[in-house]
Amino acid sequence: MTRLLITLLLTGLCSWVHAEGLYLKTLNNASLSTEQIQKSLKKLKEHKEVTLRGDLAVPPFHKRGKISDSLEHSFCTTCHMSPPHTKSERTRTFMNMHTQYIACETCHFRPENVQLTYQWQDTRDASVVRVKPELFRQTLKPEEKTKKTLPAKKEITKPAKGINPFYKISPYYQDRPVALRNNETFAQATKDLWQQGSRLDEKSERRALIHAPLSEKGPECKACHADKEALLDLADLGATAYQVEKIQNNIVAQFFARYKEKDQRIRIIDLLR
Amino acid sequence: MLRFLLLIVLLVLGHEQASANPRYSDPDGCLSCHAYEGLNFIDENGVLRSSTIDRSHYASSLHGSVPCMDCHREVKDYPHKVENTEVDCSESCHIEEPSEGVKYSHDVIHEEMDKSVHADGWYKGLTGGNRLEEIEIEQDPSCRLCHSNTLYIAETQLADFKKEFDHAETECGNCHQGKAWMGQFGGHILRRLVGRRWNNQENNQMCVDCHGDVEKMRDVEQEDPETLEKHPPSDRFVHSADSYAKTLHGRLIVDGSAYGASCIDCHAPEGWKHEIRSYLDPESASHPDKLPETCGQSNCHGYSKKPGNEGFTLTDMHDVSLLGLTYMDKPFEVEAIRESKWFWSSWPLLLIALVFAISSAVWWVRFRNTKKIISIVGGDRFETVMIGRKAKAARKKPVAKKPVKPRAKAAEEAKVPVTSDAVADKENLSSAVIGPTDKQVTQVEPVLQVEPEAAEAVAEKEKPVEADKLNTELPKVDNDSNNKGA
Repeated sequence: MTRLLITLLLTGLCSWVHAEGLYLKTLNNASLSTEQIQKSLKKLKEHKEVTLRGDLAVPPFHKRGKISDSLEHSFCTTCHMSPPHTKSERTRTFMNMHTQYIACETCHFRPENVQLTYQWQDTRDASVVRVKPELFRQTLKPEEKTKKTLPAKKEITKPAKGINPFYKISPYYQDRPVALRNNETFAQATKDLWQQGSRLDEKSERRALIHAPLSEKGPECKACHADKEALLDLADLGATAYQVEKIQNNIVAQFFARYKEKDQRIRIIDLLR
Repeated sequence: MLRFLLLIVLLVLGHEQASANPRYSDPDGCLSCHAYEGLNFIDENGVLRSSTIDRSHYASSLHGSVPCMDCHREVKDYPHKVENTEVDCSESCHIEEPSEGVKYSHDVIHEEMDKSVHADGWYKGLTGGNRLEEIEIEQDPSCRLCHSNTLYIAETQLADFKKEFDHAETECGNCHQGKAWMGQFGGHILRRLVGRRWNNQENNQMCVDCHGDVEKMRDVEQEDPETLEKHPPSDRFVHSADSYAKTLHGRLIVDGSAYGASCIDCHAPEGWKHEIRSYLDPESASHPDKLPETCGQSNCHGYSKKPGNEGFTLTDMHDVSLLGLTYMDKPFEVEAIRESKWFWSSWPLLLIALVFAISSAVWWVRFRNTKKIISIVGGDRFETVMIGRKAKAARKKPVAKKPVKPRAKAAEEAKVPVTSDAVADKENLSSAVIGPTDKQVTQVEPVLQVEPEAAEAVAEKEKPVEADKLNTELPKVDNDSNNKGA
């Protein structure tokens, strides 16, 4: 507990020197309940360590896509593996696919009564990337290739260079990035806490604190893949009208909208109807 | 005119039809999801899985014209059950071979595999499924271990491909448009034009990927063909890849030569190259009784098939004693030379060769024009016994090369009274002593007979030639100018 307080004090000092994001500010102001700490302790006890294996001796039959570890600059990967979603058999691959262009906090940090904005960010140096339709995986119509720029009020620090796994749509609060990077003091202190074999109660408190402002379950597909009240303003992020239409009416999101139960299986032929 | 217009209309319609239907083999709609890049997850065993299928790669692959459901027949719902994604390569495909119109299948391969040492592999009825499970359970290879869904034209062959078929997009592409056509049919045709896919190096590497792993090979259980008892593998089996690599064949192939025999060349030379039998099996190409035929295939070692040449086949291609040689791949490097017993054992031979070379050089400089036998070792005996000459000592000239010393002269003067005849005789004798030819010696003969003491005194100073021998043998000296000595 003492170590936690010292860490928080140091973090607070650092944040006084350097401008801190909303996520870290929220951590500083968080007060943990006993229930939260107990839940965290239970999760830690139930946790099974999984070590990532290398390539298997039997290669995959089909050529697979490229696998890039584009989350390495995120604070979340201090503990979570990359790709991070493992549990839901139905959604894990699609959620992991989204980590190529959506920052963790975009889905999992959604505080109430706070108006967040979203921008393309180069997660390697937290710089804002100039928006372009080519940043989206959604293909373009040839005539739609434009050099779209952000409104003048937004500060641009880096020109866009097409698809880059380190460019992610990230939340901003008052034009300041929300997310915590893994090279910041709090992230390093957390890492040390685990590597130094600290007591379980210390770890559970830290774990509870980190997850307090986060929601374990992200938004449903239709939160973005919808033409009304979409979570992200795709046009503002640089998408053309064609891209916006394709993303909002994505067929896989429509498939998933049919699932009502967690472990439900639906015949593919029924999905296609 | 009407006909001409009709023809134009038909051509235009035909062209539009050809270009309007690019061929993608995804009638089941699987790529609606699986074409997304980054569909990855880490499973409970820590294996990074990917559900992404590279669409353009698949369209240009060997199975590019096979719809997904032809192989993954049990995938009917989502999320897919893992067991439903498994594939049986022995099933016939729905595609038809175009020339004969029969459904294609891998049956011929399966028939060969059934007879092979790999018959217990996972290929039987199941090729897909969990790769981790396959690794942990199976000791024999599945189809998938060696074969993946590769491109018709390997990336390494793309340069040749483009060179050979750079007109495809203009001439062929005039009608056959679309990337899918270019990938599938262009690739299908050119694969045969550009040449075979794998060379011997790559073929061997496929075998070495498993057989080169010594630890893995030690875990293999072998079965006695007669008693069917399981037993651990022999060292010969465990190190088969290493020992082969030390042979001439192995090194030729590593060196990129076309003359080295690959693993398949000897173990499965016939058919579809999958019938790899145990060398104890009389039907095996590597059985001792079959080796003359196997080694003699394609005129490699044709003489081994002839009676009396069977010994050639005793050359061991997996000689464990070769394993100690660790630098066979670079035989002329310092470490390799130091390690080589051939090198060290050749030193005495090199020394003898050096002596011989120096001797030859000396002979060439000093003695090449000398017509006589040089009796260094046994020359004299050779002449007397083999040729029948007189011994060399007997042929020595009875003359002194040096003038008589004053002291000897004084002694002679004391014995012999000085007369004018005697002086003349002495002069004659001196000239006879100095004179080098046999003829001159012969002329002196009467003088020697008159004054034997004087001749004896001179001869004693020079050589151990006896006067009486001279008297009897000198006339017999061979003066034949044609005698070249040996």
